[in-house]
Amino acid sequence: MKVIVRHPQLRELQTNGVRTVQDLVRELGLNPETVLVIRGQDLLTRDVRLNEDDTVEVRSAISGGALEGSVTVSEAKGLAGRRILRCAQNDILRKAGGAA
Amino acid sequence: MRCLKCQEQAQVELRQHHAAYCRDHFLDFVGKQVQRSLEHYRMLSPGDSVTVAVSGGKDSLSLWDILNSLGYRTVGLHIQLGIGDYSKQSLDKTLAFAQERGLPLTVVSVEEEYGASIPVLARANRREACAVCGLSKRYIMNRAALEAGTTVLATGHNLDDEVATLYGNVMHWQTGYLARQAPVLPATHPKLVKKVKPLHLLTEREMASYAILRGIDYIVEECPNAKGAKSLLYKDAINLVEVESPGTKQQFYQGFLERLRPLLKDGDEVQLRECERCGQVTTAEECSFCRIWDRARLLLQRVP
Repeated sequence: MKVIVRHPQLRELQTNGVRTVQDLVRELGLNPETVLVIRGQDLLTRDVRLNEDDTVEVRSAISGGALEGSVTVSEAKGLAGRRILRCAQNDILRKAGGAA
Repeated sequence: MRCLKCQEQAQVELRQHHAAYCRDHFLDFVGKQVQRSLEHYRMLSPGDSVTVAVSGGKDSLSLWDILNSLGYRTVGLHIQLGIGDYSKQSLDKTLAFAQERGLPLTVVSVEEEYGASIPVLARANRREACAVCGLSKRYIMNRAALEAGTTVLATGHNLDDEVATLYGNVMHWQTGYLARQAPVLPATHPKLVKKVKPLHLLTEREMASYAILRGIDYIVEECPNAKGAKSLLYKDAINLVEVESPGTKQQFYQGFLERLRPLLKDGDEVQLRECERCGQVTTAEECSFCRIWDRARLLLQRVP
């Protein structure tokens, strides 16, 4: 799956496997209140399943973009949340060949 | 997830309303929310003509789109701030929007009108760009709305903007600012235009959804000067709460409007007068706008 992230800087990621929109946003460490996930002309709700051959855009909904390095929900919940989040982010970055 | 109204595939979930809508029903929801605000807060009256301040971002272009759809007479006002590529892109998006819909647009360039860009203005005054930019925009918007002969100035402030402002004012107990925070600011002087915020009850995420679903091509990139701004920090903090407790933003803001604000009196009531140089409304002999722009022109004379 190709993921174009504009939050706020533009970057592209490639990831494998089927997942829901909610999973993707969580793996990217983003607060779902601050982003929209777009496929083609459509906005996707959190329960939509994304396929391997999809191209989706994750776009910041906040004017000016959220602060870089801002605390995520998972992080706010404690160290365990942070560890899971980092693993998931590393996984995506590794699959993208460090492109991000 | 299915649309609450028609059971088609939903595109936008509104957790604070325990609802989800398809494209058409979401657009209908936004239009009705704006119409409700316009009526409930008496923002616009029949016969009003409206200057809509448009930056090229999702909120202001969507606001212009909605007011136009609702049948109001509107004129767009875009201020060119001279902030590099960001300003150029903002102008391109705004011009394209206006041309596609055949809407009238006025563009004011601060460099052409006042002799310097916002970055130069900030440097000359040794102040943050956002502070001098905000002051300048408020002045120019009011002046341009009056000169255009319009009776109301509408801005695209959304619920998140209002909540972030409220949060900041509460954190620092700025009671004067709290008393003045309102969705409608009446014209208290012949040279002040009435100001309204028709999007004040719609979240930033809802407005971004509206813009995308309406096919509005807006500037997604951030203003380079906004990086690190307090308002963004507050928005992040509030959205951390919102995601765990949907509806908090709306309760916080509407609770303020309904319960606290009526109790607050503007303690800083002052005598309004006209600036001796530009004739615009101020509390001193010379307004802040004239003072800060003088410094910018002086800097450019010294360092061309």
